Amino acid sequence: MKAQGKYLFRLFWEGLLHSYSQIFFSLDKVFAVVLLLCSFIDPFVGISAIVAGIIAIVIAFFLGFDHKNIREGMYSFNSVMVGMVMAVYYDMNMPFMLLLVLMSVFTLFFTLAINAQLKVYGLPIMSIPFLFGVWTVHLVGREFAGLHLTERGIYTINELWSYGGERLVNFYDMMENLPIPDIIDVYLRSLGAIFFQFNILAGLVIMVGLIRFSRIAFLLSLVGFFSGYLFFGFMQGQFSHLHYSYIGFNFILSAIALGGFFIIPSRGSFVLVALASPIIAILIAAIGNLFTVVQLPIYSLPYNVLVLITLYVLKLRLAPKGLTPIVEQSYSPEVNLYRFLNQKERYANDTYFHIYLPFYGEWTISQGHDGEVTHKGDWKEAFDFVIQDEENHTYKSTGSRLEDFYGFGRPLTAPQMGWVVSVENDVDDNQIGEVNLHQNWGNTVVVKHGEGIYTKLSHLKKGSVKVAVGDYIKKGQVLASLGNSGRSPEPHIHFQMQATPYIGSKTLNYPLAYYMEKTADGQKFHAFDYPQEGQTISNVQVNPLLKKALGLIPGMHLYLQGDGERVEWEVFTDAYNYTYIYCHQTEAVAYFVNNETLFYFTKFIGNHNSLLFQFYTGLYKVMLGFYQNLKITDCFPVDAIYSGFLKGMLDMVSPFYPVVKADYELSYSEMDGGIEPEWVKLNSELKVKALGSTRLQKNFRIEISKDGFSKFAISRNGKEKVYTCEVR
Amino acid sequence: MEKQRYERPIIRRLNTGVMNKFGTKTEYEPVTHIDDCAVKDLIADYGSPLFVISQKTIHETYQAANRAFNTRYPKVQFAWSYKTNYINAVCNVYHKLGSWAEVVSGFEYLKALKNGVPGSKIIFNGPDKTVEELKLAMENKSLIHIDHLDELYTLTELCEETGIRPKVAIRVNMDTGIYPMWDRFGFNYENGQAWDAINKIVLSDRMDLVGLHAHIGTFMLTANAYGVAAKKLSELALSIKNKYDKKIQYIDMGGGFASTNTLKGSFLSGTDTSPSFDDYAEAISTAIMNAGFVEDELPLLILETGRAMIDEAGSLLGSVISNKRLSDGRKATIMDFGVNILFTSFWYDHKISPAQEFSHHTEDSVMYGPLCMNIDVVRENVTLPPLKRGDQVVVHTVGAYNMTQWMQFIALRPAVVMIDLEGKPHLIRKRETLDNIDQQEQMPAYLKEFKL
Repeated sequence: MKAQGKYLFRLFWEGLLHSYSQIFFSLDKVFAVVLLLCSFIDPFVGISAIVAGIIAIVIAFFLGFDHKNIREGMYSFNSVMVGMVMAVYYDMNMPFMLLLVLMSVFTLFFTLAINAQLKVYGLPIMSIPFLFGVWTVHLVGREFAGLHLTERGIYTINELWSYGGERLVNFYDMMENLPIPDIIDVYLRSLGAIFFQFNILAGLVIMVGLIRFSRIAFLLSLVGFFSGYLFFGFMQGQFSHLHYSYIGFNFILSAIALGGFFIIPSRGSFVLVALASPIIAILIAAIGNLFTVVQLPIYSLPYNVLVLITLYVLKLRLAPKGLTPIVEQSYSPEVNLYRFLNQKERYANDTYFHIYLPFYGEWTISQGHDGEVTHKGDWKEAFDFVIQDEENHTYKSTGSRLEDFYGFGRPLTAPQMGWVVSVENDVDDNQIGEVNLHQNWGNTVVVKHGEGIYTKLSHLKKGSVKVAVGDYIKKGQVLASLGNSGRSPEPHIHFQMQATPYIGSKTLNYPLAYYMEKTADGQKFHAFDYPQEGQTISNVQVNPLLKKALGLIPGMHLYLQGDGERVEWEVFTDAYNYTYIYCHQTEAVAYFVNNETLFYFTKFIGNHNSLLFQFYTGLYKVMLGFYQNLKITDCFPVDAIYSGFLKGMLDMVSPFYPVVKADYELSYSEMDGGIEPEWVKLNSELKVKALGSTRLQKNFRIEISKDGFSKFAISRNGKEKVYTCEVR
Repeated sequence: MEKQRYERPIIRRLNTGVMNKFGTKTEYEPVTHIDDCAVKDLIADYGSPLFVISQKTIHETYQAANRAFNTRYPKVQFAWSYKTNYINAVCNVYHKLGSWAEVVSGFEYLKALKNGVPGSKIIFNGPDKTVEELKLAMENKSLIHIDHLDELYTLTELCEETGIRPKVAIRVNMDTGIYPMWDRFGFNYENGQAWDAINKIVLSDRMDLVGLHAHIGTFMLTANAYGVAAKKLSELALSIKNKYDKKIQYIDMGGGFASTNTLKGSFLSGTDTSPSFDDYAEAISTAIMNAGFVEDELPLLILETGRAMIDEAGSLLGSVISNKRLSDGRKATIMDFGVNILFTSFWYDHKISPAQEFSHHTEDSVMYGPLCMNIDVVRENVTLPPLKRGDQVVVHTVGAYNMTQWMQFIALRPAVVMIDLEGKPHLIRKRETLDNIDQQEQMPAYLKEFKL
């Protein structure tokens, strides 16, 4: 009961705060508090906004809407803005309060309805509900005499005098008459205008909050605003447009939305922002003139129109290039950027279904995607596998009999667990060189792994299929033997992914989860990649020691001791099923993923001086198979290495040029031999390079025994700290 | 133009009647080069006779075996059988390819250690392991394959004494449907000896039973027997798991795969009758895969095949000492190598090719070695072109057992050369000298001087 109460309290409290920060696409609570306080520069505005927000959240909650969206303020931020505008224009009285409540509810419903519609297109609701809400208020205000246009804001000095006397008036006067150029003056006032505070003080406070929240967003706001402002000047537009209610905030919001929130920040996104602002300026002028007819302010309409159109257009691209829309929103341009930079290697893995190779040993791709021979048209995304010897022959002796072919009769295994949906088992195996065009696929097994994910193995040996339709199969289970049936002049595996359960379905472009490629000097590890023609590949053989050591199960304790320090770590799982290591001493948290082939850390929260951070760095990514001298590389996002001021500075440059490169390399150095190896030694390295020189280098030694981690050592500048590990 | 070669005339009987359906021509092809090295040059450089080992053939054979097993079974490990050929360079070729070591004596064990094989990757087989050798193997964490109960008792005592917990396997013999049944090694499966040993090992709780080993015979001409053996070992492994909840880590199928040599008395040539690696692999892996192991508990499959791995990579080069006519009119050729260094000629009809071009005329002859012993017959009947003194021949498929079973008898043992992957010969064992032999001998003082 108590926990329930705590949960609800958090839900409401966070939902309310985020309703403010959401306006700037942020879930930063400090920024939210700054904005909230800002709105209280005019207390009536502040109160009105809070009331509207609370009403929206409470109603959304009692109607049973998604808690995550409530918590993120998604449903309430439009109501909050409507509340603010209402208080800016009207005096607070009973009719006002009633209208505030009703408008808050209306805006919420509008939000919910339009959200459901736009979600289909993968588009955000932006502030469209706010626009409709606030226009309704404006139009209705002319009807209801119960509403009184306020005189606050007109006699500002008088009001200030009544709050804080002469000193406040003087301070206000000083702030308003700061000797700053018009462009900066307008920029700051436009920032304030987002919260309907048309003064420099509010603008300054919001600017500081914005910088704290995101340097990239701040930079974008500058680029967007100045581009729009200069365009206005160049076109000799009426600056009264910009000065009137500082409509220039449209530049700022569009810049943040297009440059870093909905699109990965990059050079391209900055160019987009610089080009978008003039268009916004055109829209401001055009729509502004149009709306004078109905005497309505345009507010953020230009920004809404342009951002929605741009995002929609970007989604229509056939082969997307350049600007990358963000799929999983992390509410921070910085995080969006850093995640994206090593997304392919790390986070993309979560979204794919893991498909492994359907055989034992090493096979060579004789035809890959878009093959020369038969992998064309609807069937272009398939793989053909054969076994080759050192002379690249697929057969021994003369190759005139099926039995001469290395692949013939070899067991084929299930690429992942699933259900058998189609089986063909009665097609005769062709003699070498003959093809059966009539029964193109020959003997075939199709396995369903999930909705829309099927794999198909074809050209199997007649009568060799060991499974029947409806069977549940496990990963690696033997399904059949390779034959030479169907359109197959010599024994080869035809392996494809498809979206439908039929033999003959068209192929699906889908990567293979993990595999090893044979190279001239060893093996190369591939993750979520597409094997190419001519490559010789095999499944990863997981090493039992590595599997055990990195199989960190919730409830497990790790104790590290050394260098006069002893820490206790515990493994937990959170509500979203994410596993993490928690340090009892420093309260640091390191999130990790272990999918039985790969172990990797995804996020670190806490003190960078903690031992857990070193552990996070040293075991950033570990493939669970042991291949002598294999090296695995990865790169750290900037925010994983730096924090504080330095990171803030780097944020400003990172969208344009990776000044800092933090590379990770893990090498599989040594393993005890024999039937049951007793230890494995790994070495890893973190190398931070900036401007052509190495700024920071750390080396890690990891020793693993039968009981799990046994030793962890960090060396930097030739000094080594060794920790002994104990797992319980 | 080179001077035409003189060939002495031969007399051949003309047959009348129905033609031989295989024709009259005798196929022989001169083998002038081994891996691009001229036989003539090799003999000139290293003397005659000379053993030559082709690293290229070793690689090809190893890779064929590896391919055959690895594409059928997920976990396979080869172990080089030292007794087959333990010249260090040869062993290291296999170790470089990834083979562990399989040894059957303390001497071989030390050899493997000296070659740099980690103790944990040495399989210690054989009926004769001394206390010291067992101790050494325990300390080095080697896999000890127990052959008889007395060894088990000794090992148990050693465990108590040293406190070391060795990793052991038992050798199991069984009826696989072949004759003769090899039942002198290890413990019998059918009569319960194997279970007796297993119970003793597990209940003593002083060692870890990690594997099961069988070596069902040698030069096995049927792959099926391996299927039977693999099935029985798998059943045993699963029963141990059921009874003691102990996972058997590996099944060692031993060796015994046939090479392409032709056994004496065999009607067809070995190249036609010997099963291939694929045949053995199919029989073994199918049996284990179908035995009912849980997917990730499939045991490691260890193979100790020696003969099939190296036989073809070895050749013996030799020269003709003399031609002779025997009393019954048969032709006899005396070579400079005999059973002293070609021990396998006792059981194989080795294929022998001349090392220089001849006309198509051939004659039957007996091929003798150089020893002053009547049993020194290399081939009782071989069809070859008329060889003369100094001509050179190549004896094929001699890589297995000859370089370990050869005798220093009457003559000294020849040099061994390995031709590397680039076709460059390397001397890997020097021709023996009198000093080598004398080195080991000691002369009592009173015998040192004499007068004749």
